[in-house]
Amino acid sequence: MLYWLSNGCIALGLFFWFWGTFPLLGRRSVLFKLHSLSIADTLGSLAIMVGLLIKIPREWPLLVLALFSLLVWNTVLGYVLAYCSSVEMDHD
Amino acid sequence: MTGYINLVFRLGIWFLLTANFSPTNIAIGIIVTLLLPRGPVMSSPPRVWAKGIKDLLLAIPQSYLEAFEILLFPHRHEYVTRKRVPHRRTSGMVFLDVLLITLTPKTIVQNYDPEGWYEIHHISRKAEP
Amino acid sequence: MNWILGAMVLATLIPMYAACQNQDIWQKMLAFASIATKTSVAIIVISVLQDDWFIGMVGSIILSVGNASLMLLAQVLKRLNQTNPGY
Repeated sequence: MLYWLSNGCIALGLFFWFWGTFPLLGRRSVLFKLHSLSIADTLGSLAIMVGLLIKIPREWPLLVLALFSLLVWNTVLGYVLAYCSSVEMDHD
Repeated sequence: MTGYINLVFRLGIWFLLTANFSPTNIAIGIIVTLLLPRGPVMSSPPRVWAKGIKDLLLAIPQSYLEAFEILLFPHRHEYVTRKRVPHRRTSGMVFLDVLLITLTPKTIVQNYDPEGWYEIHHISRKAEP
Repeated sequence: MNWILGAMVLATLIPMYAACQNQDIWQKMLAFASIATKTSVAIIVISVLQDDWFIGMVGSIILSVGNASLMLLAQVLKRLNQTNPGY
């Protein structure tokens, strides 16, 4: 049961990674790509980490730290990138 | 009060990183947390913090839900709205607000106007409402 | 468990290709941010699978510090664009 749960989480995360990263190759605006990247990099990586946490709970301190820093830094990076690139667009 | 939260936060990171509860390590952790400089923090009451943390925990399933929505139905339209910041927010709470809005995949804070507005970029299935 | 790593490397190749192919600097930044996250998650996965605490520590330090450099770079680029637009 736990085996399938953890593998399911990891598979979901990997699926999010692929599906959210493919729009990078397209020709949309930076902000649109940021939306899909926030799915891929934040939510996908969170799912992978949770999967690992279920699989190997022994290393929980490291994984919890990784979960936390993923959650905070990735979203803040999304905001900073959105802010910097949009200010440039106003300027043009 | 916020000073204590700050110290506990730093110690927590230290113990998660080292995962070692020997007396030497605890002493090193406490000394380092006390020595690191502390900026001036405006304090929010603990009630506000508790609500923020609850919102953060609620936002995670919400963002997975939105991810599946985007997955199932293509969201091709983009638009920008503005949202008012609640009155007298401290910088910590503004940070938490930005984090919560940006975490959900359909919305990204694009600009924070110090006069009290968030500029939010949305994607949606239909054209601008 | 090696299929996880293989899939991760494959997923990392996509933003690398995007970074090479796209000329616009912000699109490149997006691709770099994506590469940074994906590689550090891969490092942590390796550490957990190999049961090596220290590799995992390196991974989580990269995860928590590496993004800061990208933020600084974004700020510098914004400043650069403001002083001489079209650069």
